Amino acid sequence: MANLPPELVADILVRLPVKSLLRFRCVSKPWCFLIDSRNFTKMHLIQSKKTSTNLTLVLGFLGVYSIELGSLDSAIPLRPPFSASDLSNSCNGLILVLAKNPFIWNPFTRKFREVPTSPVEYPVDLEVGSAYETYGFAYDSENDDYIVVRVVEFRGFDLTWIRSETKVYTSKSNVWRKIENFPYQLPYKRVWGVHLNGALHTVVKNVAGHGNFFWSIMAFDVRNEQHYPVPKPDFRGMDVEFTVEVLRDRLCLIRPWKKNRTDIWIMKEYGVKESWTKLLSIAPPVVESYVTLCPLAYSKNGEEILLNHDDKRLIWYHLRRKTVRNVSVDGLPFVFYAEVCTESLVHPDGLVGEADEDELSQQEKGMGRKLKKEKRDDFLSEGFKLVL
Amino acid sequence: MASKGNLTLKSCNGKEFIVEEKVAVMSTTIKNMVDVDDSFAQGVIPIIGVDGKILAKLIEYCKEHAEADEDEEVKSEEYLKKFDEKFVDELNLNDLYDLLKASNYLEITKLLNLLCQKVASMIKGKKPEEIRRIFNIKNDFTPEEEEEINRQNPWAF
Repeated sequence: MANLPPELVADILVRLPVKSLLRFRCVSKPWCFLIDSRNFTKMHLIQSKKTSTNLTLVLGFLGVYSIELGSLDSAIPLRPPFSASDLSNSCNGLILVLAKNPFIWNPFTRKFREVPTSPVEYPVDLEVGSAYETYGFAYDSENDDYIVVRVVEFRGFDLTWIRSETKVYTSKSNVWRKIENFPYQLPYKRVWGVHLNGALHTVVKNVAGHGNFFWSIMAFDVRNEQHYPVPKPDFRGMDVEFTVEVLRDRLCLIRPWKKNRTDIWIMKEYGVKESWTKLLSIAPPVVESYVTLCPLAYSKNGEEILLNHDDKRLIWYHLRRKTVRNVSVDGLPFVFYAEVCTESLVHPDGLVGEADEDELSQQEKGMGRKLKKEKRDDFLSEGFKLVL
Repeated sequence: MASKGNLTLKSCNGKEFIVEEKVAVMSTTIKNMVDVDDSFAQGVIPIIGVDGKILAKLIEYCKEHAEADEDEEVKSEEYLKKFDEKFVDELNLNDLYDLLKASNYLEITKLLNLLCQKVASMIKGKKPEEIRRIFNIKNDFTPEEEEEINRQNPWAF
């Protein structure tokens, strides 16, 4: 394959997993410049997202592990350079890790950035019994910026919620900024939020009177810092607590129901109540009683769903046959939570991010070829100038 | 001269192929030529730098896909997937290389994607020295520079 045109080399490399790309940096100087370039990082991310490839499960809790979603064969320990206690959702291959301080980490390139600390401003007008810090991680596609949201919930001595001091940190600015307080209580977790469409989603408990509660979905859009409600499906029966997750860029809802059965719903069109569809309903003897189930991914042919079964193992659920099969993964830790990540070369400084949505959709329509080419010439000349 | 609805393509070593227009215009380059200048549609279209063997391969691919685009009933997605797999599996490294360059020049996007994917899965697990051999690339790093680069990502090896 002597003298393959540079644009073809880029077109081939853009389809490789991050590990291969890091290894191929030492092939030659032009390859190294190409792989390290901003445009290549962007193209690689777009390609992975467009084709749903380079997907990896990152496991947390007892150590951090990665499992290639394509093969699901073995869990590889990642050994982050800090003691990672909690991991966030992933945005373009980056994860927010809570060690002593928060870090933005790319588990695939193993590059990280420490987020500076910011003092908590305790209310002076009220008696505060406790303060609890919780973090969210999001991507602002309009500004190509990574956002950390910190909410400090102040409670009285009787543990009633008083208010939530809220600050946002943007990767580009590298500073924290105070914004309007969160108007609702968040789940009692160190990292909260389900990231979709530039917003962090959460389930909120509301008081219905007479000691009853009902649950609703709220979203916080990091682009305009506004909160908005997201409709939930019309359930039959009583209101029970549910959780939300993201499955292949769609919001889904997990509802343990009548103690033994779990229903998983999916919102086909974002924000449209009528588009909620029940994806599956699973109950003993297919699974054991009282297990928690969390959807992670679809199989390649779309017939099966990968589920985290009670944070202890992975199972495939066949949508049509309504059967499950166990996934045996070498080296799987015995307790874990799992996040689906798109492997990327994106730097934790946030200097390289996803392209505009417009660009992405144009590529999907197959109109992006020329655009892609022009951009490629751009960075190739940039890269090769340095060599010559 | 080709009859109406057909085009004549001529390889660089003088081989002529008469193909249906819908097959030929799977190549954006040929489509643009025909759209701009009607004389191409009447006469012979020279395919520069592509020999008869490779051109025949390209036509074989385009024929299957053009027919599938026209009638989904006859050639299902499944059938095309199998055809594509067989098509790339039968290629040796030299043919793969020639086809890559030709489909890039002729802008046959679907085929180009298929071929790039094939090369990517071929090289995914390879070592840097094997990559240099496959692509005939000269290692222009000094041993010190190479060591430094390897040191940055030891887990990737």
